[in-house]
Amino acid sequence: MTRLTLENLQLRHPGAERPALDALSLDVADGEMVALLGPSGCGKTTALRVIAGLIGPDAGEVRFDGASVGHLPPERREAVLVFQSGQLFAHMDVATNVGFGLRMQRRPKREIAARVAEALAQVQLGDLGHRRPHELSGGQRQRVALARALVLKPGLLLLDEPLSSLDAHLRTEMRALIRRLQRETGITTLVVTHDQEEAAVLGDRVALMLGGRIHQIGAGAALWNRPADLDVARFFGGCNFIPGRSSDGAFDGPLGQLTLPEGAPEGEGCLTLRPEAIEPGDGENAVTLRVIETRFEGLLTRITAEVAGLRLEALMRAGAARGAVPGQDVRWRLPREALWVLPGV
Amino acid sequence: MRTALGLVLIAALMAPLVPLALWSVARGWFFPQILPATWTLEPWMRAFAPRSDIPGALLTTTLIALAAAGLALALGIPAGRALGLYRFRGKALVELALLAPVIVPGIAVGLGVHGVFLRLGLTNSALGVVLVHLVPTLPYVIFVMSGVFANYDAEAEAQARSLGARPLQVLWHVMLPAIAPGVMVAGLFAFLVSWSQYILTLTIGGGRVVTLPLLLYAQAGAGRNDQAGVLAMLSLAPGLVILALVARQLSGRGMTFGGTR
Repeated sequence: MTRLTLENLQLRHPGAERPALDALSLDVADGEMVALLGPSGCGKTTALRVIAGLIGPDAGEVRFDGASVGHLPPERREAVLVFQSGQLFAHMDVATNVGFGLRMQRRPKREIAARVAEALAQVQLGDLGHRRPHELSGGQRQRVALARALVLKPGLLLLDEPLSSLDAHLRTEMRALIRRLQRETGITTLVVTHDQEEAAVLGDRVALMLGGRIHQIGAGAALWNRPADLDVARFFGGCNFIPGRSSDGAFDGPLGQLTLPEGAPEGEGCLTLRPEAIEPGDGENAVTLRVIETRFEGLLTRITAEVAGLRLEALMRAGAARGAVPGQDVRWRLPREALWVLPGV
Repeated sequence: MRTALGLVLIAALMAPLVPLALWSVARGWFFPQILPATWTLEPWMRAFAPRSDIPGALLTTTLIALAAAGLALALGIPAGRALGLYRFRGKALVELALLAPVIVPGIAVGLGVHGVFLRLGLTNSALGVVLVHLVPTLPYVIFVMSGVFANYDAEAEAQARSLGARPLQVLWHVMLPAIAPGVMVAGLFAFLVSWSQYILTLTIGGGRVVTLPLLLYAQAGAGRNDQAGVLAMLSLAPGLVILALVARQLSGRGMTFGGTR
C-alpha cells in the first residue's frame, strides 16, 4: 500500500479571493485511514482532487511512498478517487461499471469477471450485477462506486463525502462497511467529510482543515477536548472561552483559580471547556453562577449562566438541567480533565 | 381530440405531396380530372434507365450529405461542448455569430463564399460544395450539441480518469455513449439539411456538381411533371426514413435534446 505525503500544497482557483489550499501539509501512514474534516468550502475536496491528479497545485508536492507524483496524470497514479455523487456510468450495468477500470487496463475477460464478482460480494451486492444504475437505491449506488474503486486494489483510496447523500440509518451501515473494508484490505484511505461524528468513527486520525490548511491532526477525542486553537474549538461547538493566565497547573481568571489537567499549555491564553462537560454540583473547580436562560434542544438543554460579567454555556440532560431556573444561582463543577488552555488567545 | 388534431395536421402537411406522388405514376393527367386517366411506372423506369442522370445525382447527393454531416459533427461536437459546458468571455457573441448563417439569406452567403472559394480553387468541386454545406448544417449541430452538453456532467470524465482511463478512452467509453442520442439527432438533421440544399450547391458547384435538388428544380422548371414527381419522391425518402428512426426521440418524453442521463 501507499504512504501519502502532502508538502506545502498551495492552490488558488482562478478569480478566487482566498486560496483553496494554503500551505497544506499532511502525512498519511501506510494502511491508515485519515478523516479530513472541515466545513464546506475549506478546500478538502480540492485537496482530494490534487492528490488524485485532477488538478495541479500552484506549488508544493504530492508524494506517494516518498516519490513525487506531480508529473503523473490521474490514470497513472496509485490513487483512486470516489466522487461524492458516486458517478456511476448510466449507460453501463453494475458489473460493467465495476469492471470499468480493469477494462481500461485491458485485463483478460475472465480475470475481470472474477474480480468484479469478488468486489461486488465485498460490498454485499453480489446479485445486482445486471441492474442499471437508475434501478439502484442511493446506498446501493454508493456501494457500487466503492466496489468500482476497490476492484482496482489501489494503493490509496480517496473518498469524497461518501455518506453525505444517504439517509441517517443507511449512513451508519455504510460507515461500518467502509470501516470494515478498510481494515480488511489495509488500503491507505483519506476520507473527506464535514461531519464530526463521521470523522471520529471513520478515521484512525482526524485532520481538521480550515481555510485551506490543517489546523490540527490527531485522535478524534484530542481534537474535541484538546483543541489547538480557537478556530478548532469553535468548529467543534466550543462556546466557553475564559481569558486569563495558566501557570503551574492552575488557571487564574475571572472565575478565580481553577486546577488544570497535566500538560496544559502555560502562559496568557483562553481557558476552554466543552458545554456538555459542565456538571451541576460542588467539588474541585466549582463556581457559582447566575442562570440567565435555559433552552430546550431535544436530548440536551442549553443553559446560559453568568458570573463576573462572563458567560458560560452548559449542555445538560433534562434531569441535571432541572435545577437551573433563570434568575437563580447554580453551583457548577468544571471537571479538571475537561479544561484546556488555548495559548496566546 | 388530440388524435383528430394530429390527423388534420398530418393531412395538411402531406396534402401538397399527393399530386407529386401521382405525377410520378401518371400518364396524361389533365384538368378537370381528379385522378390520372391511366397509371404507369414509366417515369420511374426512365429515371433509372442507363442514360439517366438521376442515379448519379442520388449518389452525389448522398455522399455530399454524409460528408457534410460528418464534418459538421466533427466540428460541432467540440464547439457544442465548449458552449454547453464552459463559461467564457464573449460567449454570447460566439452564439450570435453561429446564428448568423441562419439569419443571412443563403444566396448572399453563397455569393460571398463563392468569391473566396474561387481564389482557393474550391468552386465547381464536390469538396467546395461539402464545405459550403457546413454553413447551414454546422449551426444545427452546434445548437443541438450545446444543449446536450448543458445537461452533461463532465465530472464523469474526471471519475473515469481516476479509475485509470486515458483521455481517448474517456472520450470513447464515457463521453460518446453519454451524448450518443444527441449526436444521432444532430447528424441526421445535418444530413437532411445538406440533402435539400439548392442555392449553395448551385452557386459553389457551378452546375458541375449535380445533386437531386438541382435536377428537381430543372425538371420542374421545364414542366416535366412526371420526372419532377419522381425526384420529389426520391428527395423525400431519407427524410421519412430518418423521421421514423428518430420519432421516439422527438415525440413527447424523449424530446429533451439533453436526455442523456
